[in-house]
Amino acid sequence: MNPEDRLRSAMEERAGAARTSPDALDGVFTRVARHRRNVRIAAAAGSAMSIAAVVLVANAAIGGRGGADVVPASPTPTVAASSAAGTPTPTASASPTASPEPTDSVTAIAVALPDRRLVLMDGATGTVLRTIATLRSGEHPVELSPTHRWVVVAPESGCTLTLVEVATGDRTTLRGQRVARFSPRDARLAYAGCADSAREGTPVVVRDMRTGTERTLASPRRPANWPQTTQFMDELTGVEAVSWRDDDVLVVSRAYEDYTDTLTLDVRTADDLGDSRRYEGAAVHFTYGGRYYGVHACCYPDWDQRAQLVEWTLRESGSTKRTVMAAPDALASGGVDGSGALVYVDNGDLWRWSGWNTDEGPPVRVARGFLGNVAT
Amino acid sequence: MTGAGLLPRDADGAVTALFRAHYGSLVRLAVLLVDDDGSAEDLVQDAFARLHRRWARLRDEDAAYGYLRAAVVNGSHSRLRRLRTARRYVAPHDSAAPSPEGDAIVREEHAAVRAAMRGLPTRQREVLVLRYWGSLSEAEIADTLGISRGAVKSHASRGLAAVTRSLEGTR
Repeated sequence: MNPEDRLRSAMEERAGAARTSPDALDGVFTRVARHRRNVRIAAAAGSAMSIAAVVLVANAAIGGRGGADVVPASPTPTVAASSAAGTPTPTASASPTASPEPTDSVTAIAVALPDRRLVLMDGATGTVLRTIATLRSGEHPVELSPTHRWVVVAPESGCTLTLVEVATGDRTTLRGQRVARFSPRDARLAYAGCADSAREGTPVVVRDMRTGTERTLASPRRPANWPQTTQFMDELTGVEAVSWRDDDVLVVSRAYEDYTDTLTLDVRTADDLGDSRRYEGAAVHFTYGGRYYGVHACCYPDWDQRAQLVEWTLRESGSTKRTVMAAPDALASGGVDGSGALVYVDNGDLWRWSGWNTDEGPPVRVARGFLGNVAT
Repeated sequence: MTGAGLLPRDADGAVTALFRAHYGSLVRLAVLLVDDDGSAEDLVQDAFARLHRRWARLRDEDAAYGYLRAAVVNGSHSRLRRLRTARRYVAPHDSAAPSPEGDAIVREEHAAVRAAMRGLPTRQREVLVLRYWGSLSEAEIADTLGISRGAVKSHASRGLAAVTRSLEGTR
């Protein structure tokens, strides 16, 4: 018998001995359900941008699909976050008083409410400060620029980002996905572009907010000693999160099978700055004080399914890792507002924690039954 | 092509139909790649769950099966990484059940082939499995693995040579 026939024979015997579980189909749909839950968590975190107190909360249903995601602001805002939730919300249900100009409050956050309003909210009290626009559809993640001049509304799916100027409501459509974040002082916006084919990696686009010019960074190099990427480039090398360091270095986290690689890029040259490394199950969603932060919530049966906000030091600082908070249920994400407080949604409630990185004082619950996508 | 027939438009229905048509054969493929029955089922179920997420974009039975097959191959990479440590302590799978003496030589032969396969680099093993068990063409293997046809030829040639050398060494 020649080697080929010996191979066939041995493989047929081995394959023929394989047995399948009778409840295997249940196993498939269990995974589907688990993924849906994790996507709600991770997608919200990934789009939370400048600080990322982004939380995707179920039931923030905002209408149908198609076309731009933002329509002119509704003249008569109707439903406040709390009433839509159907649960007591002493602060978030405060009257939606729209101010004529965008606030410069350091505690302001952007929120996409279930009644389709995109608003600026005082993250310390839950008071709606201003209605920016009315959203057309979906559970839109949003991103607020550090100076509060801009908001980006990400699509629920598809490839249309909407850039909204807070003061005027003027809108610009960008061809991008749900991952976007402003650099310090609103100088640039980085977002995940859309690949033209499934075999291309997701490009990272950097927009100069002053001139409106854009630059597409080449798909960052993958270290040669990592496993070879094959198919499903949008999954294996999809951009899961982008964030900015204080020194204007762009941090790109790419989903790669069951782990994430994180690249640090000089946006002027597109050079990889050499701090690339892998994090299993977590992307870097924001940086603060020289540390990286991300939400760990991943996807295999034998892994811890609880979401955690984790912190890494930079490689040059020793590459340590610690858990900032291990949520008992569904911590979606966390982000730091202009005052330095961590704003996040946990178990459906809106929380604020001024001493999050010093362990001084407990978190304060701003609103119960909060429903909305939040960006600090 | 697959026996799944006209697929339902909704993801749940389509995945269920594809599952009934292909689950068994994909598990057998996975078993050959990871040599572990439990892990093989896990990664095939993962592949179907991924397909469910992407069904709105695929909606085509041929594309769906290609996706599933490639997902199983890709999934085996990470699965093998996690199994690698355990493999140091767990005896390799030997499916040979007690049988008449006349089969003993065949069983020994198959065990030797499987041992040789386990010693191959991952990519070579994948190419050999897809070629000699899956009966895929070079183009189909190249598409599944995301490599060139030339690379497929190279991996197949090297893999087969390595298996042959290994088998000759056991004689």
